[in-house]
Amino acid sequence: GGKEKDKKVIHIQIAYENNTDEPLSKACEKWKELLEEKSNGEFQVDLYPSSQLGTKNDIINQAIAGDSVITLANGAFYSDLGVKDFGVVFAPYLFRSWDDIEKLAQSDWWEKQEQNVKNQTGLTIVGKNWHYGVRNTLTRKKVESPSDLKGKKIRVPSNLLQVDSINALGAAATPMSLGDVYTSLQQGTIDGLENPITVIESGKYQEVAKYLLLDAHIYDLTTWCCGDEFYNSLSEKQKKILTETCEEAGVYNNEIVEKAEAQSLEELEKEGVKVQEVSDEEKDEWEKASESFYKNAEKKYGWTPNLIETVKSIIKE
Amino acid sequence: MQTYIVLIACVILLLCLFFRVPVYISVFAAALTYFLFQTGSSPAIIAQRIGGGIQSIPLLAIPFFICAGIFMNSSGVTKRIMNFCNVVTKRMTGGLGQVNVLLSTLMGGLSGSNLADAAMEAKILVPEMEEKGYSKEFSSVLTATSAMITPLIPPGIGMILYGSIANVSIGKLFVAGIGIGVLLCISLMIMVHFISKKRGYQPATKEKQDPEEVKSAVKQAILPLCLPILIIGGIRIGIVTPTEAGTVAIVYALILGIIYKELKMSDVVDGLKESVATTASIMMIVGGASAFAWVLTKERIPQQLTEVITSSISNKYVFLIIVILFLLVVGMFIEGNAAMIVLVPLLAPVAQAYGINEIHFAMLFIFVMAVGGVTPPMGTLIFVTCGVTKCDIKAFIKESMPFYIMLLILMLGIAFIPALSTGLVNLVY
Amino acid sequence: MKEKNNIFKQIDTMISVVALIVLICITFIGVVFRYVLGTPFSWLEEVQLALIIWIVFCGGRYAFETNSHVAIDMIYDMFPNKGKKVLLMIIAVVVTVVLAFVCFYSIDYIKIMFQYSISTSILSIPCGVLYIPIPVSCILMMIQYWINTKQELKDLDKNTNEKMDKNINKNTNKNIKEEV
Ligand code: NA
Ligand code: NA
Repeated sequence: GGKEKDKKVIHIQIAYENNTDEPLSKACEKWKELLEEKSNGEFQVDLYPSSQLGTKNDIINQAIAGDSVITLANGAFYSDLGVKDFGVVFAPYLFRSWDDIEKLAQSDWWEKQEQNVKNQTGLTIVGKNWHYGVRNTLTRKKVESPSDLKGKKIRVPSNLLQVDSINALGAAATPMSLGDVYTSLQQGTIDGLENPITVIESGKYQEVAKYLLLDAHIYDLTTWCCGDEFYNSLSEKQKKILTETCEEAGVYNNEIVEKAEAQSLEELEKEGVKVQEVSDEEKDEWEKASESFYKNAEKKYGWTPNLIETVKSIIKE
Repeated sequence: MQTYIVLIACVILLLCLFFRVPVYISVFAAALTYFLFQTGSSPAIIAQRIGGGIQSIPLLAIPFFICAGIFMNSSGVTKRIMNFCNVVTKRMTGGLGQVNVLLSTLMGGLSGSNLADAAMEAKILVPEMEEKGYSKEFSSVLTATSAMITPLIPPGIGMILYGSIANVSIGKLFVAGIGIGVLLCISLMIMVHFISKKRGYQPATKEKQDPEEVKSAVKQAILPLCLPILIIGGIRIGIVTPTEAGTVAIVYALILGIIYKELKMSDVVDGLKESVATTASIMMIVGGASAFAWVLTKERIPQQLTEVITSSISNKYVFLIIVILFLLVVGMFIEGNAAMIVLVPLLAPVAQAYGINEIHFAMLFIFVMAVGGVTPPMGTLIFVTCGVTKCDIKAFIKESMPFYIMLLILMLGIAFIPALSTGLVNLVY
Repeated sequence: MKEKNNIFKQIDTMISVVALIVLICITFIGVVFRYVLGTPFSWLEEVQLALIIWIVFCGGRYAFETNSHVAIDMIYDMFPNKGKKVLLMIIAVVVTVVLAFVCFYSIDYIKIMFQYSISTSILSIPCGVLYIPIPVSCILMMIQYWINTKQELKDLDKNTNEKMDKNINKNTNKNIKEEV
């Protein structure tokens, strides 16, 4: 009892863009529970869904500036922050299953990337096993093959790798804030968007675009990160609790994401969305169509030589 | 929790606001108070929150429509549209007042930004109204209050946010929004009619419309009148986004200015300088307000208040009344969309538990948050309109009283007559 | 001296105006490229969001010069002339202190952005550059506010209330009565 009183309570904020009805947010609730329980109340956790504390960029910058905030970031993001090689996880059709990318996440290569993040960006990665979702494409007009995508304006997040990979398929990548997407889609300013199904359903885009292509161009494995200043203020034990609970909640997240994706798919079909499956052979075709992304990729994105081959060999191991 | 620091920040905000510190400095001061005395965050974040609040694509509509309004004035576009409006509304009491309301409703179809609408109409309509004998206060209040219609008529950012956060069909919210928007439009038109009659603003003439006069007015105004068609058409066909539509208006006004030979190079430069000054004065308040909203959210003030309120209510109707009061108070301090992101996930499930229809509750929520724009101390619509028209804020608030009563009646109406929100939706779906 | 003063006074406004022109042009041309040519600018959003900061903050001082910044003068109006003078000084000090802090912390933030070389994704514009107008603008607004205050104090002395300021004080009658 006496010890409890001496304890300094550490406030942690977990901030993300997803809404509370999405599986990721529910997994965060679980994580909060675990953190508070395992730390015996040393950690006090608050969740900030729906970009309440700002956009993803804003929150990352807050973390770097020393705020005790933990947020989501993926490979494309770290690539923008200067850890160029990390961007390879956003190469289209490079990964064909969660197993592929998880294998990479367990490799020494990944370990090295995390180290680079720590050295170069002022951020520390605390967890890497969360499935954000499989990124698919929702369009206003039917898309079956790469040639259908030619000239279509597809909304992508404002980052170089996703812009390039959509452009490589012959479409016209249109970065746009998510808030504008519903109206733009409704009125035909854009022809489609790409995102995990759960995010699509939460944003209600199925009301204004009726064709879903399950092309799985990216298996979006996301990481949680926090600022160095905050991380270094923790004791070794606290750091351990942070990473362990993150992983545990991640396992829970991956379970419910899978269920939620199935549910969302059902819901979309109920609302009149035509779902187009993409077979493995067709995926080969899509990968081939995105060839121009891979051409000179090492130079364009500042990757180390033969990065694609390195990653492919890790997956095949 | 550092709730007491937030409390001090609120006091400082009010003190500064009422003792004539510029509004944006007052809001900066409140946010700053928090950053200086809290522990845990780097105060450097205040710069990012102010900047981040300004960096929003939908908010770009503000400089665009301000600039368009200014160019429309100096290029002779406004003059021709106003002449046309005068001829058409000759037989109506308070003609230009009615035009003010209708224009906002029309603008609602192309822009989601109430601030952009208010700034533009304050620029082009209020001087004309004053010339016709309306008081500055009345013209300003009407401009600000009618700008509330803009986010209700689709497209509206508020409805998109609400729909995606509370998992309600955005399409249905859009339809319901038309109903509520038109309701507000009609109420305001009735209001304009009675006030104009009482004060003798633009009395209706009994004389018949002279077809020749109408013809010549139409002929003069034909190109300017194409502008709304061009813009709304452009959005509906998917050529431009509502934000980009503002630039189309600018370019069109410039072209007409050249055609009419009324636009001089010096007008363009002056217009741009004026746009910049007005944009800066509005957006700095928006940035500061966003920083302050961030502080409140981070310290979970609205969240805590919600818990207190929802835990002590047992009746659906009491709940609705309390929600109105609560949102009105919140709306006095936080901008509508920021408040929505925080409060919708907390309040919508409670409403659902009381068996309140989701569309009904959404409309009440969105409407009450819109009212926050015209209530002191932090009424962004007040600041925008008065910033442009240079109307005294005290006079503005005094003049607003009958409008507040009307808004209160509408709020109660929306709260207790669900059909006002759901009627149109049931008809369409 | 006066000439120099003028250039100094106009340069921020001109930067803001140029940024506005660029914003309008790229947005409009962006529509043409997306709709007519089917090749949207992927960098458009990034540049738009960068420009708006420059427009707003480079225009901040000019907004004071043209009295575009709103203030509520309800209570101020009730003070007698002497009280107004004191209040004006206090307000100017408050404005200075607030802007000084915001200036200081925004420099801090810019430093952090440069330290970790954080930049935008597509064009790699350093985020620190986007925020440079903030501290500069704070200092310029401070200076301009003191110039305004000095003018207002002079006007109060002259007791020509109607000259005071377009957006402030419509209650000339009341004030004259008080003076008499
Ligand atoms: Na109006
Ligand atoms: Na609207």
